[in-house]
Amino acid sequence: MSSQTVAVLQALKGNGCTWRYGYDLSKVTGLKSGTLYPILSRLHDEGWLENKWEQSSEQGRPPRHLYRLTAIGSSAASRALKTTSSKARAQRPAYES
Amino acid sequence: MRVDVQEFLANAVARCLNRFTLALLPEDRRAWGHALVAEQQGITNGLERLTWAAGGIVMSVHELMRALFSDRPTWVTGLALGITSALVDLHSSTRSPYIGLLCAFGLTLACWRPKWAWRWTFLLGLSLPAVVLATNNWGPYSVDRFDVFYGLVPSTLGTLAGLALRSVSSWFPHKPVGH
Repeated sequence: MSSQTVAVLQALKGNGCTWRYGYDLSKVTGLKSGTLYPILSRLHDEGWLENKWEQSSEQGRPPRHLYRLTAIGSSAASRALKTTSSKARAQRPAYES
Repeated sequence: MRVDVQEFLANAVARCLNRFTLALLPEDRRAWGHALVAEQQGITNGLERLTWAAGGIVMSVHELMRALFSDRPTWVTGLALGITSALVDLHSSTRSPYIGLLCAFGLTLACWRPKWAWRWTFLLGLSLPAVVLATNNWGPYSVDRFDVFYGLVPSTLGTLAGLALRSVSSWFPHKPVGH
């Protein structure tokens, strides 16, 4: 799993699996839209992510897409994040510990 | 005033990029393009909006490449057929077997996988130059090296014939087998 995907999962899991906007996720993860959206669509294909369109209260504005982790996605993300952090710990030089 | 012009230009280019994003994306991924475009309404800075819109092009190219190269069995088959026809041509005294093989393979691949059939045209037609370059054996092409590209003509004809055959077959209703 790429570091960008891990960052997206962390951001999605961070706020207790609430609905998030794409731009909001981009700001949290520091990823550009061209990197973020392919990741979101892959996570959606895997069944890890659910999305919905939210109608804007302002007239003339298009609806926005919202994202959150599914139950499967949430548990898979926890596993993935745990694996990533244990790998990072194992790779850390001995003098740091 | 200058800021207004910059904003106006950034918005115009962003709108243009959005159109390209939606046009380039495969149909089953277009909703993601609409989602990316809709997010721009929440971005107040023109330059940031432009960067966001440019990301749409990156996403489209990414998705396009993924769709293009996702059919691995057909790519492997096409590559094997292209290399076979190239090897036959390099060891043959006439061009007829190569032309015949490329026409037949182009027809088969276009019939089998008609979506973006030009992929198979280039794969088959460019196999000979690839084999020649990889082995550094120019064979009969040492006199006129650009001649190695002539395979693109029969592979194009084969692909077109395959597509025509496919569309003709779709005119006739298919009867269920076993009745």
